[in-house]
Amino acid sequence: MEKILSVKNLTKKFKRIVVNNISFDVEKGNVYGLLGPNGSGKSTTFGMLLSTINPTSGDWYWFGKKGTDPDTLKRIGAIIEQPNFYPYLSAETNLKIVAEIKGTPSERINEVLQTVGLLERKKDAFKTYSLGMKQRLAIASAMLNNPEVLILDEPTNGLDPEGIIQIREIISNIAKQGITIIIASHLLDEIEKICSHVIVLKEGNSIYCGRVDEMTANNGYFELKADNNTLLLNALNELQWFTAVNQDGEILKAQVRDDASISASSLNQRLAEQGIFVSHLTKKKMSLESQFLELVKNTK
Amino acid sequence: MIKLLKLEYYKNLNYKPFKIFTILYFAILIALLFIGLIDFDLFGGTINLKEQGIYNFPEIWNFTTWIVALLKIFLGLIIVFSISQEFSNRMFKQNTIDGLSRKEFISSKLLTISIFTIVSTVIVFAITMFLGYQYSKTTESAKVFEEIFFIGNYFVKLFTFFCFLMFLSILLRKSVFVFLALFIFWIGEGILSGVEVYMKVRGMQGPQRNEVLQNDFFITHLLPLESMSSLIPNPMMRLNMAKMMGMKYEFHYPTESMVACLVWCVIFIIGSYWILRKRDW
Repeated sequence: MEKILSVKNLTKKFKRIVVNNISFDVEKGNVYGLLGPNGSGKSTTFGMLLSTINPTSGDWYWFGKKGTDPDTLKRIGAIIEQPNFYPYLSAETNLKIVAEIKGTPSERINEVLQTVGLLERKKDAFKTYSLGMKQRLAIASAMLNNPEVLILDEPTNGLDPEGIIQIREIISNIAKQGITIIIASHLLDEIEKICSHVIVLKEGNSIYCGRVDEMTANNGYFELKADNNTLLLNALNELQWFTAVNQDGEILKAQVRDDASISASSLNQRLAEQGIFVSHLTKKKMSLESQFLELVKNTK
Repeated sequence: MIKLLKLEYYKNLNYKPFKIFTILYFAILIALLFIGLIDFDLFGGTINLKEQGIYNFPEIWNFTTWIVALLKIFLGLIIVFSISQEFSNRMFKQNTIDGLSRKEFISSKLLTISIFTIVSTVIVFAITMFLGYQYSKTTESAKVFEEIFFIGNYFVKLFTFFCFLMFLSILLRKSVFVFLALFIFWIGEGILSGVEVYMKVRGMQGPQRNEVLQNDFFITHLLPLESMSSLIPNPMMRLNMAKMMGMKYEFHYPTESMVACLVWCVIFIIGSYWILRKRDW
């Protein structure tokens, strides 16, 4: 796979160490989530990769080229922290400035405004926009130069549910075009819905970088229910496929062992052979949230 | 170059303080140049600056450039506002992320400064020429062009002042702090040069003292504001009134101040660039 970005031993010290020796690679065409609680160094990392913050030590390569120069930045689209525009200028003029900086023809302006649904409001001053509109304009601006990679730092921060859905739809449409996306968020379900890969930061350290589903060696769990739960519980315990079987109200939760691989139908068959007929059976993956918490816990 | 010009054009065209102060500046500037045509009531008598010879070649160059330079703070306001809003709106950061280099940012601001300085200089030059040919006692070309270097000095004076403001704006990022710093700087320079003069003439008597004050070299004269103001000395001694009172006007071309100003420009520009590079945004 072609590497879009390769970070090696990146460190930033302000008064304390904010980013500690992190390394990761970003491959073309994937959607990466940069996870971590507030203050784990996500924005600082982006700042360094986008040349607004000077690193203390470490290197990175964009498209195989060391560091970040203005020409590299013209191949990247980025939204950081909050949408930044000249408040007294219209959306159109603001985008004209961005187009001028990036060297993009200004015909693109109407196209991107159309994509984010702001074409009718293009003559209005930026300061009259709602937060959701501002955020959408920021995405339009980042998309202006047809970037090869898109960086989004907390794109849904402070938005109402409708705004969040709009932004999520825009992002997944962009992802479908094959653009590499790196998205930072502390909202895990947000990342889970969009990302294929994650980079997990904790107190400035990168503790995981890879596919979402390989994040923890965990095969998920079953939720089951039968008319006679005691019988079901005994049967499950005898099967030796599970590390633990717990009762949670009416529902039984059976944790699949790391070395076992069972489908819901084979489990159902086995239970039926023993004369137990379940009224409820689902195989569930651990949510990103619980995986994340487990990962963070394990690296203490 | 065209790109940077366009950027500044988009950024400033609809910026209210920019529009207001630009119009105000050029209106007051033009009005002020015609000040000699008005009669003042002063100390019971009427004073007409034209009668006092401010429109005579070659003194006119000294008078007009000095008077108009008093207005430079208006243009300075525009420059401070338009640069510090880049920081308060976080637009410098955004511009950088979009791919504008630090060099381009500084160049675009220098471009605005240069345009202001050039336009202001050209207006002063044109109006001075007009007033001179209209009202001067003499219009022989030797006299007309004798002190035309004041126009050059005016240009350098303005340019240095604006570079200074650009530097302060980038350093402090808030317009209020910039004006405060400018004020403190002004007072500070005054104190320093007072101290230097005091040290040099301590214990000296009348004539000897004057001798030192006239001919000695003062390091504090090389400070930015001091050297800017020495480029165009106060011309009030050249009024007919002063001549009648027997005051002697002596003028030497301020070469050291000119060199000092140019050096300060370079320091301010490089300093600004250095701050943009070194700081985390």
